[in-house]
Amino acid sequence: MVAITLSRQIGSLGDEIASAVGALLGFRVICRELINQAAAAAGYPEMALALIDDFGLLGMRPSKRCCASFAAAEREVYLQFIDQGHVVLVCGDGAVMLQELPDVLHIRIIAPANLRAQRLAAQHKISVAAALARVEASDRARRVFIRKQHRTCWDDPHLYDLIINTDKVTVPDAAALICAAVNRFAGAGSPQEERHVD
Amino acid sequence: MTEPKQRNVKFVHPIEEAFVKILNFYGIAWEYEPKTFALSRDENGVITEAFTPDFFLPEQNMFIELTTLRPQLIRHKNRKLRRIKELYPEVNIKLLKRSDLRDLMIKYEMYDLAEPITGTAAQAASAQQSQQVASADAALEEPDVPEQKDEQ
Repeated sequence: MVAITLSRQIGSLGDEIASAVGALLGFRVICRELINQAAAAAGYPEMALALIDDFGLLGMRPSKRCCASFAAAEREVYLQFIDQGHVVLVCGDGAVMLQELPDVLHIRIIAPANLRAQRLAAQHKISVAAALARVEASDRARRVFIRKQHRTCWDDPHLYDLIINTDKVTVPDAAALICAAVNRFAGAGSPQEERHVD
Repeated sequence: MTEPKQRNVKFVHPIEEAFVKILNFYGIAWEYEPKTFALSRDENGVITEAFTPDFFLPEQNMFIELTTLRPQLIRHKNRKLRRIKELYPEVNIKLLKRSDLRDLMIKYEMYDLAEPITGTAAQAASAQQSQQVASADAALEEPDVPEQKDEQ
């Protein structure tokens, strides 16, 4: 049972790549559902809002107790999805939480901050300066969450099996790279024994 | 992710409208005042006190009550929320104290989100921005200032 975790920076086209990979491999793409379920299981639904709120607009301030309960519940929810197999888990901390699992490929999608800001500016019809402020706020929120919850740095390349910079790599090419990696991975890691995921 | 449905809801307070815009911005589904909780009844079973939280977020299975930062209002609402938790322990409800988010919204150019907060800095900034653009346009249209002669 192969599964993928996909961590992405805002504006890196990570969501688009996740969708493309899901379509190519026939994998289910799971994103918001993960944190909603984990927050509900932890008994702190407000934790889901705190995680969605990259820009600090909702004003959620989860307590330490809430964060600890969430971390425990989160892992259980991730494992339930992994057990189903053939899933792309779009999440910031999947690679940290599921590092020891042998059948999970960890992907990271990045791009330079200025490029991400330009993409957001075009998408939301705002200035590049405002878009850059959003990029910085989102990066900060996600970095702080991983550091507080897992005492690690989300930019640590050792957490990931494949890191793709979408500065030059397009969405279809990134999706193709990930699919190739998954296919090799499903073939017990041997390039000679490459086979497709059924 | 479920796209929130657009509805023609009449909000009681501008902070509710601003909050909905934030929920829509993040793609969070919401329902406005969908349920009233009875808090006390008289000897005939008639409801004497009730509470209707502002929002229900179905994907998070959580009610949200908004309040401004006035301490008296917060105390009053906290009391009602404690009563709801006593009577309906299975209900998730959160009191959100809305601080001033206008500066943040302006920084991110979320003018649409800031707009419902009437008389805000957002509007002032928007007006100021328009004024600046107008001034810049006017400056472009001004005739060239004659060059001063070098007195040397």
